[in-house]
Amino acid sequence: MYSQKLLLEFYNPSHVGVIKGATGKGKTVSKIDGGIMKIYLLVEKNVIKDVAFQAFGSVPAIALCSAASRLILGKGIEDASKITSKEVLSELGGTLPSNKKHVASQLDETLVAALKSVSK
Amino acid sequence: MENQKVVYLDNATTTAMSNEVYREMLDAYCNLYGNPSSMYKLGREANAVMQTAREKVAKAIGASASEIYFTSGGTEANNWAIKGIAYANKAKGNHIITSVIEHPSVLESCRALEKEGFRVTYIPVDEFGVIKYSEIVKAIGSSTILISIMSANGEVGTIQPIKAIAELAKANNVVFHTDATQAIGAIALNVKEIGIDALSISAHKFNGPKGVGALYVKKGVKISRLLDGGEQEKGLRAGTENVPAIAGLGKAIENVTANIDENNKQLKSLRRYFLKKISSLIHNIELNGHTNQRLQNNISISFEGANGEAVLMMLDREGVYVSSGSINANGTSEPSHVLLAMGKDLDTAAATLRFSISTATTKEDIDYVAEKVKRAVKRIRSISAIRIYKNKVEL
Repeated sequence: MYSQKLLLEFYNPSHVGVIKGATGKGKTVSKIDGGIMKIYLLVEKNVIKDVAFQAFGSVPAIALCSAASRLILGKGIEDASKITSKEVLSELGGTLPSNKKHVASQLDETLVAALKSVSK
Repeated sequence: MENQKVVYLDNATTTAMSNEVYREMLDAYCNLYGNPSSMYKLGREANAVMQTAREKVAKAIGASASEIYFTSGGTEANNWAIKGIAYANKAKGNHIITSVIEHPSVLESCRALEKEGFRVTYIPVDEFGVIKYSEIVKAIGSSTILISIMSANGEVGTIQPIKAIAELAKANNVVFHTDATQAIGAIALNVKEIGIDALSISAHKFNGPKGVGALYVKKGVKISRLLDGGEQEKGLRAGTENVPAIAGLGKAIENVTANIDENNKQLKSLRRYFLKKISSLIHNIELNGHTNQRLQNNISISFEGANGEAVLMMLDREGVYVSSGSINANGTSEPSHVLLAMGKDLDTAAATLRFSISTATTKEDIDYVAEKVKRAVKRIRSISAIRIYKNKVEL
């Protein structure tokens, strides 16, 4: 079962979509459940001005992408890099069921990929 | 939210208990509380109720009452059948044949036996979910002691060629067990005519109570004892019997097997209506399973680009209850091992919902559900990283 906070985030996700002219993009595909996460960033003067995501994935995949987008928005690249699924999950009421832990790892990989891709 | 409409389309997972079954059980709970092993009247009465239920179960599958053993459900029946028959026939050989699409209670029992030195062959299925008979022929050998193949699959509804498999088993002097938890009440099963040696039953799949089931074991088939500590169930499964639940099982199986043809006719028409409705409202969908060799209550559909669990939770808010993939004990789901075995890719398996209707389902229910599914799929596709255009997918 998922936490109420996580479900609330799933039902009302923020930052869904794409950013035209994004300066950073990260995409990952899960070998476990086929889930696809895409995170788009618009970075200006080293600050994340806009974030968007698309997720083909289960309930926590959508909730985690949404909450992560909110957490990194407005942050500098360095500060944003410090945010991991652990912080995102604490926003969403704690841990994931054991068979969904891979979703958190996938979020970390997607965040890293997106931040790394930012054109300097 | 108080007056929200509820449409339960997860009857392959479990069913609502019927009032008739409830009344039968209530009587047993309140009036027949004696221990069925006790000699006095109250005990004898409880025992008589149990024997009546045993006869009803036997009659439903064409067996003798003395061949029916009550269990705590389908999972126990499967565990007992696989391990019990393997242990009791160990002297003859150590090879077991089953399929890749069996219920976890069969698959995990086989894996447990592998750790103890038994050898297990897992037979693959074709794209419709039909077990490859020729692979069983190839696998069977002098050390084979047991073949366990389900009568019908619960995830995609495909009915398996168990008569042919039973004949093959008999010709090779191998015990044939079938997990009939999804098939009871949906297809007419006569163990003598088909040639089944052991068969698992679960009451809650056909409007009976949860926590009770039965294992049919043909007279003469060797099976080891499951529980020590008493002479119940012919000394094979000790413990005071759950008389009210057993009474409920008896009533439920009697009811469900009384109108198989009539029920199937109704379900077939409802199923057709459902498919017509859904396919007129939603594009890029794929129907899973066999066209006609199938259970009529099962509708498995993949909605390209829309994760099944996500759609399920959107429907949950609308009072529509369905299932996606393989349900996990922690209340979440994973892509179905059955769909993957049928050759579906991970994307498709993850985007699948199973609707399982019942004779209580109405066309109005289906209209309501179809509209809600359309909206839920649209919503989840709008978040998806797989972009869906009519008949075109962009990754």
